[in-house]
Amino acid sequence: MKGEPFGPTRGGREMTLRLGPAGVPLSCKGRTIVEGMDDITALGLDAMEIQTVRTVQPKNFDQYWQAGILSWDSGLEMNLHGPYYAELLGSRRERNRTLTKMEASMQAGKIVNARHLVYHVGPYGENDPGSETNEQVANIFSGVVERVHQIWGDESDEDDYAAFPWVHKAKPSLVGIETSGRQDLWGTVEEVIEVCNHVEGTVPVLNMAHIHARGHGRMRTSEDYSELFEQVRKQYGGKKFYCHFAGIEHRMGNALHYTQIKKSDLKFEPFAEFLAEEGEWLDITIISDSPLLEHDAMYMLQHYDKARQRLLEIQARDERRIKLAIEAGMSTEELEMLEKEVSESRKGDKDDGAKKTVDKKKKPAAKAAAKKGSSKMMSFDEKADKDDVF
Amino acid sequence: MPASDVSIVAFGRPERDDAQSHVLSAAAALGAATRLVTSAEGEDFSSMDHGSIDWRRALEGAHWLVTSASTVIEGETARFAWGAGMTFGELEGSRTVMIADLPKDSSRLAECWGAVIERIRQVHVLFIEPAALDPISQLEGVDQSGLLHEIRLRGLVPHVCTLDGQREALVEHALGSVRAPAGPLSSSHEWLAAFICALPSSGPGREGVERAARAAGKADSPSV
Repeated sequence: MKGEPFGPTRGGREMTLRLGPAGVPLSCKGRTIVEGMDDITALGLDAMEIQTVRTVQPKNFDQYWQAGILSWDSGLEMNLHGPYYAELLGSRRERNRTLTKMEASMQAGKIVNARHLVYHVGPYGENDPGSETNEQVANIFSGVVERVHQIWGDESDEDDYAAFPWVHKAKPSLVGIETSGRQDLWGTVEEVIEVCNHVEGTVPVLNMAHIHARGHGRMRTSEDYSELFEQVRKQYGGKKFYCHFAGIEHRMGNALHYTQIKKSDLKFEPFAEFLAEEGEWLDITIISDSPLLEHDAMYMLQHYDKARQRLLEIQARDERRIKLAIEAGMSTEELEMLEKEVSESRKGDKDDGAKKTVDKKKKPAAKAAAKKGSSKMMSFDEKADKDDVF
Repeated sequence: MPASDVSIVAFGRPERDDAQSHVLSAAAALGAATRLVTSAEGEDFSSMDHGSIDWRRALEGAHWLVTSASTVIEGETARFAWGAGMTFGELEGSRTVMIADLPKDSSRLAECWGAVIERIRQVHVLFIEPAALDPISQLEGVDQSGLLHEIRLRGLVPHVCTLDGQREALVEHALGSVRAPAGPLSSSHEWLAAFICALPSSGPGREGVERAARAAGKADSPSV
């Protein structure tokens, strides 16, 4: 079936990974969404998040319909980001102003066949962080979800939408609540999960740059990603994830400025390692919102492919070793003994490079062992990863 | 670092009558190495061959790429070049200075400003011309007094600045805000030129931005 659910697009085993830019690609000669979608497909990417920036201009609705049809026919996942700044916890006037802008993006979301509508909450304002404030946010978002369902309509409108089958065949857009990157903005991972748990039809949007900045640079190793996804899986459930990724400059737990991934202390390699090694249960969309949009989406794709390739190579090497040992007439016990000897002789090796590799192996293994046994991504070649992929 | 060690590239009209060219001329008068990237000789800027610009070479070693919001509406291919310049700047390490100016046809301000917002993450210094402050604050639905701060927070732009009616420079930056006298400079473009000439050598942090803003106010008015 076309449209929802989108078929597996990338990844081994069960995992579905979709990558794409937040907006029309920078290298796209045209500036319309449909032209942007063509470029995204040509680049081998499979998702897009439309930026409504301030308000949705009615003149854009024609191209939104075209984008919806193209999305339905091609399977390119469309998503939509609401106003780039929100004040849902502000005064009544500020909240209503934000909701008015959100209304336009909800309408556009239906037209464009958006799978996710992504929203910020904005500053805490006069509220203190805590359940009371979260309840207030939950009430607002339950209204938003209700409105999205109203907009998507019901079967009685069937004739009006004959040319736009997703309106009834696909489920209405999920409302994504994005984590924030500043201490004064509502949106820690815990807050977002709490609200999403209380409002059906909402999903957490994990903005890795924001989580990294707000956590004083917490996303450093593949185990950090493993812990984050485990936290969300345990507290929220499900396997569908929607993430943003970009480089970020941060200070004192606050995001200062977005940067390209290469120039940030938030690296994609550990995320790629986590996805390749432990992400088989995930159905994940990653949107690049770096200043280099599609360039960094491609960068992520290449690093993910590289990480997966390494994992496959290691698996193939292990299988071959076992096969050869069996052919040579060794029993399983003898093979285990031999592998132990080889491992010990490697430990004795004082070579600096080897030492580094062993050190690198030990750290993740200690943490990962509790969840998934030993890590197989030990030979990740840092040097090669720093190569310019463009 | 003296201004003579600062290298600035601007993208704009060959007639040199736009805001970025004024900044470029003022920076050159202060001693900076400057270069204008524009359409080829005899070519119409609005329909220029944007593919012929070797951005990598043009931006080699440049500290800043200066351009303006109104360039977006000069023509389709000029807009492509405008976007490509910023992307190459990001790749090559040149930082973009965006002048949010009023287009000749002021009804097209929303279009110009929308294009800037679309690429706000590629902008490092956003200078809002005094005349554009009020219309942009109306577009954003924010009081003029809080506009710079709001834009900085919303777009995470490292420096958002302007000159106010009292000839004071206001700079909102990632670590706070600075207010400094604009000094004897005769135009806001001259102040911006002096500011970006001073910024690379003014040191890190809040003090660095303040030093650059104050140095810009003390710069001699260049005879452009």
